[in-house]
Amino acid sequence: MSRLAVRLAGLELRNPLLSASGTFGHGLEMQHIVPSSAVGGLVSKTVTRKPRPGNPLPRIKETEAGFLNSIGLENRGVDAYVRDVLPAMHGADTIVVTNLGGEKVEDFVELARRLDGQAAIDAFEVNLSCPNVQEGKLPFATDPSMAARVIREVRAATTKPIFAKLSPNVSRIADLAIAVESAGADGITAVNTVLGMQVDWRTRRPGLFTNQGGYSGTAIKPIALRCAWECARSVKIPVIGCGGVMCAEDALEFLVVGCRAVQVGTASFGDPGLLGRMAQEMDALLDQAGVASVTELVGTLRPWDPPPPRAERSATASTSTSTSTCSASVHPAARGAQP
Amino acid sequence: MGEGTRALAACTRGTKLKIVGPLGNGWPTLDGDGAPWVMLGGGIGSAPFYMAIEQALLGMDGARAAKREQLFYLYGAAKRGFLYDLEAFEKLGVPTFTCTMDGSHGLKGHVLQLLEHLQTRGVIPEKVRLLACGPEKMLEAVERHAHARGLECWLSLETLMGCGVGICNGCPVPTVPDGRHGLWPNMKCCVEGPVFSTADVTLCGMQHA
Repeated sequence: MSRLAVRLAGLELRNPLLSASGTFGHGLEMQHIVPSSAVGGLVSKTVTRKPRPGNPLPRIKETEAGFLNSIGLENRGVDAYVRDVLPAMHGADTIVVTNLGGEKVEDFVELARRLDGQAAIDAFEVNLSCPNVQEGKLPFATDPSMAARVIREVRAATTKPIFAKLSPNVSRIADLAIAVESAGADGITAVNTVLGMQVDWRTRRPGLFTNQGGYSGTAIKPIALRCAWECARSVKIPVIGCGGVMCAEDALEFLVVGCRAVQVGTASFGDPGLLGRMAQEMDALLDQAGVASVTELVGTLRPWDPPPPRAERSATASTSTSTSTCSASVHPAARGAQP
Repeated sequence: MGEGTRALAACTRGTKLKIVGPLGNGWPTLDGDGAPWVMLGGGIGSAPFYMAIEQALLGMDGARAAKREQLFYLYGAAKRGFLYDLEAFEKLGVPTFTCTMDGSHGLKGHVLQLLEHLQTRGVIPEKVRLLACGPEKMLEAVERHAHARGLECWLSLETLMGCGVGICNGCPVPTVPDGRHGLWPNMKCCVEGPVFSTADVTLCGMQHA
């Protein structure tokens, strides 16, 4: 399936599909359901310097069209990751991306320094945007100068490619994308979860212990697509789309708006085997559409042509066949308004 | 009633369903050696006991088969109509006793009251091994009961789960510091459970909205 191969910040991926951080363990827990050889890359659960027990229950809530979570980055810390997880990751037949989390700039730097020499890791994803720690204040994801500072210092601490994972909870994500690109990021993951909330009016209880949490799944695809598109047209480094990808068609949409690869997250909760089948489904879709290589799709969005000026419409309506199609598509009310 | 139950209820005969499973662990080996096993089922918490009894009588996991008198099934529900498949359990031939909160079948009260009632009368010995599945409040009471009497006890838990396969960390169960898994504050209900020993975990600290 070389039709699916993509290059991402110097890495060769057999296909553009990666697991999204926090939705697939560290990757190999799922080996019996999704062999690593079926995916383009495995992104680890966020690793922090110190162990984090995570947030109290309830941590998850299913909603009408998506999923709310507030896990709180439960993980056993970088020492345990190096000792217990990484040895097995050498056997992963795919690209391994380690997601780094922290509350201070130094946390990210220390992690990058600590893991830089680990051969099992192909790249880092810097989690600037977890909404479930630091009271959801997103200090690194909402301030371009802070985001740039983290990336700049991580850049200085490692030679491995680094991807900055951005948050959709900002008004101009392009500002963040430009900031992390200038600071030396090799790529951008767009996006993390959307801040959300759920409540039971009868018990007056919020759905999550932390009141608010990260919203993901089907409902956020349009938000994620818009964010990914805005990032892709603002920077030259590759963008990895993420958010609401439930099937191969969804993934292809992210490629069209300019992403070089796509992460699958919440969809794995409903269908743990999905990620293992998706590449084949994508290959079949491209085959049907006569697309020889998936890279041909990247950034091929065809914005609508602006409508012709009104004067032109009336002048050509009776003579030109090429615009007769156009005038036929004009709303009857608009046609009636023509002189 | 949750979304899953609603979806199942909406299915008609012939509907094709995808099943992800089997997931997680099961009961400990219900052997025929040692103290009798007392199974406490609350409402639909009866579901995992039928096959457990069948297997225990045949010799579970290659262990010595349990005799019928080494197994006690205590089944409680809000009322008679909620004692699902009671007749099927009775057909298994192990001593089966019931209780209902409204007194419409068996003893009036809950399963721990039924257990004490039977122990006071010498039907069930004091030293038993407990297995329980049912509503959270019942399981919390069973946990306290087991600790107070120093009994071995296993609970089959049902937390809200995001994935069921151990990848989302959405279903933590608090560990006790001196238990086998005490080095980390949580276990995953979906893959490390849903059956846990009360020596390893505690329901104390789990919130149920």
